[in-house]
Amino acid sequence: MIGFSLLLAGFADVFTPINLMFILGGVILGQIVGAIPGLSIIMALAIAVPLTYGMDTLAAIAFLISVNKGGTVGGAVPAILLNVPGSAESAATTMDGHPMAKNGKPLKAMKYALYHSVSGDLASDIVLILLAAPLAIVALNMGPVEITALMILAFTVISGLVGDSMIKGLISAAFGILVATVGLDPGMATPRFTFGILELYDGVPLTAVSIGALAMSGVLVGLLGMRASDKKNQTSAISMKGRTREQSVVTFAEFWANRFVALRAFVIGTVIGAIPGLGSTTAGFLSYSVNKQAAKDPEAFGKGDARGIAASETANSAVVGANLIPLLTLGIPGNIAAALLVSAFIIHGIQPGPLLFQQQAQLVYGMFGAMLVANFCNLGVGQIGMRFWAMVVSAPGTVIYPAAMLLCFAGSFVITGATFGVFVMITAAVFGYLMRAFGYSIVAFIVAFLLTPQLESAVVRARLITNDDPMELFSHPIALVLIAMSVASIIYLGPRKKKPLDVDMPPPTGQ
Amino acid sequence: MGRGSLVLLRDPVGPVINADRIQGIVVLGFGIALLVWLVPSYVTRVPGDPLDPSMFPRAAGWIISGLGLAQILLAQPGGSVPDGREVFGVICFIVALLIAALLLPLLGFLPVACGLMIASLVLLRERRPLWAATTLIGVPFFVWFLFTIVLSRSLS
Repeated sequence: MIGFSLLLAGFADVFTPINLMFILGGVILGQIVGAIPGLSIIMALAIAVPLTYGMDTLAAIAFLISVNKGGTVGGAVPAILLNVPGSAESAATTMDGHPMAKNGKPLKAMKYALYHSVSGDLASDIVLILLAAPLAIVALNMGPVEITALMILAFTVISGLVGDSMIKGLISAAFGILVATVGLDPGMATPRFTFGILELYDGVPLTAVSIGALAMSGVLVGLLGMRASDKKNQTSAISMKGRTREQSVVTFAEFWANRFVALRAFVIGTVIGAIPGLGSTTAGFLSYSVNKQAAKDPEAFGKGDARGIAASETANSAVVGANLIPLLTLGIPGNIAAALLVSAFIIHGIQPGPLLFQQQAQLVYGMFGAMLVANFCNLGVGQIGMRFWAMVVSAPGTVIYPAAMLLCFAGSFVITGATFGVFVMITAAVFGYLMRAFGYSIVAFIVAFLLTPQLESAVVRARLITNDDPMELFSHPIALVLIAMSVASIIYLGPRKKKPLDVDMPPPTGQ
Repeated sequence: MGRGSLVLLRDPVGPVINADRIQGIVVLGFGIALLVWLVPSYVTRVPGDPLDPSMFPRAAGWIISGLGLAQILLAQPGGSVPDGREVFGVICFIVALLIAALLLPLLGFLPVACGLMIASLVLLRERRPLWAATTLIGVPFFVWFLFTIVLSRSLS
């Protein structure tokens, strides 16, 4: 049982000037990056990880979590003003956010998005805080055989749910496993695939790979898009000047009127967030579709209805907290943002998983406290800053993308303190670009790369326990069930041509 | 769709030899190379030992080979291949990054960063003076300031 004093101590750790400053800074950075179309929060997180090297562990984790939370709020700004989602999870927000803005209420639309985003995020954080510790206790009873089976299930589910093809997803995961074996093997400390390069004895640096595969490959795609286009700017955003109070303010009554929509969206977002492989985008669209179908007047959706914004933003933000449930209880990142948090944990010498509650309980509760504080910072920064972020959405790509490229360059240098990190980043960027071009899942690659050391350790111990006798599996029924679920996920998710959670999308409205 | 999408894509060659099948052949080839050359040459093997260092690399090789074969046999119709212009653009940016990485220890961060920004402006054909100046001067100094002053991290 976690002591109440540890819980209070953890929460109290958050309220230092340094930690509060990093939370505030993370939220501001996240909202700005989220507001810039073409830059994703994943890019921001990948670049931000090396920035946290010199920070205290709690400050580093709080900063990254705050960037993630800020990004889900910021992504709604261009979705509403430009009909272009700043981040993928805000795609569903365009359906009613932009029409509301075109109806003369852009600021009102952004405030609806802000309030519902923060409330969804806050509610899912509370679910995380209540569920994580009890689930971790259950997870602690799992041995290496069960952990091996669970990781295989995680690989198959993630590979099947992200991207369009399970085969390509599994190939990506296999490459992630392969790259993770570079370096000294954990059993006998013999070099594997080091090719005589001394720096590779410590393995391929995770952060450089993340920056390259996630951030830099996305920047390359953006730069190529700018190169191919004669348009160097975004379309001008809808102006917020000259609006009446009714067009600008969301009253409590108006917010409360959407409570059932928000509740439905919160449940959808939290459940989806807890399942590895599903993300905010799925949650946003599914919630929109479900709420539209549940409405008495579904024809009102898509024309600037506040319920559409509430459905999308509550769900996509509810995913943020719930995504940490599999991470904190099982050590399995539910999505890329969680995977990047894992890399931050590892940088600071901490292994996420069920033992975290025993070994670093105060840190975990400090993290929970930081999440709650970040939600309120998100609300305050959003209220004040949304008029400024509206200017950011029109920033030219010829400044944004080279700046992102230089941040990737500098960040990857800082990781190793030498150009080796930069060369790894460039290699990973080429690899990531090819994966994007040919439809292979970068998410599956990164998650597999991250989990392989843990998986290899579990497999070795499982082999020792079972003495390499396959019949021993029958004395581990939980492992058998998990393996059966892996097979079922391959059968169910493998042959599909579309994602299993298809939702009706309105025809594109264009800019 | 937002800016930055892959827009210059060609259709596959045909229904039998299509993009998916070609990728499967490449993946299968790599998997076989891994099993017959890379693992035997660069990984120690201790057969039968649970601590065998080659266990995971060989497993990855078998999985990659098997999935490559599956991709060949179950190739999806359609698929895409980057356009030649796009490939040329990628190569240009990668070469610029590699040159920057090689020159970094010799020249230091700011000159290299400015050079990289010049290359970006040329490749992006940006001619507006204000934005060009922002990219060429403002961005390198902002990044330098962020890392060396704010975060106290050396960039050379």
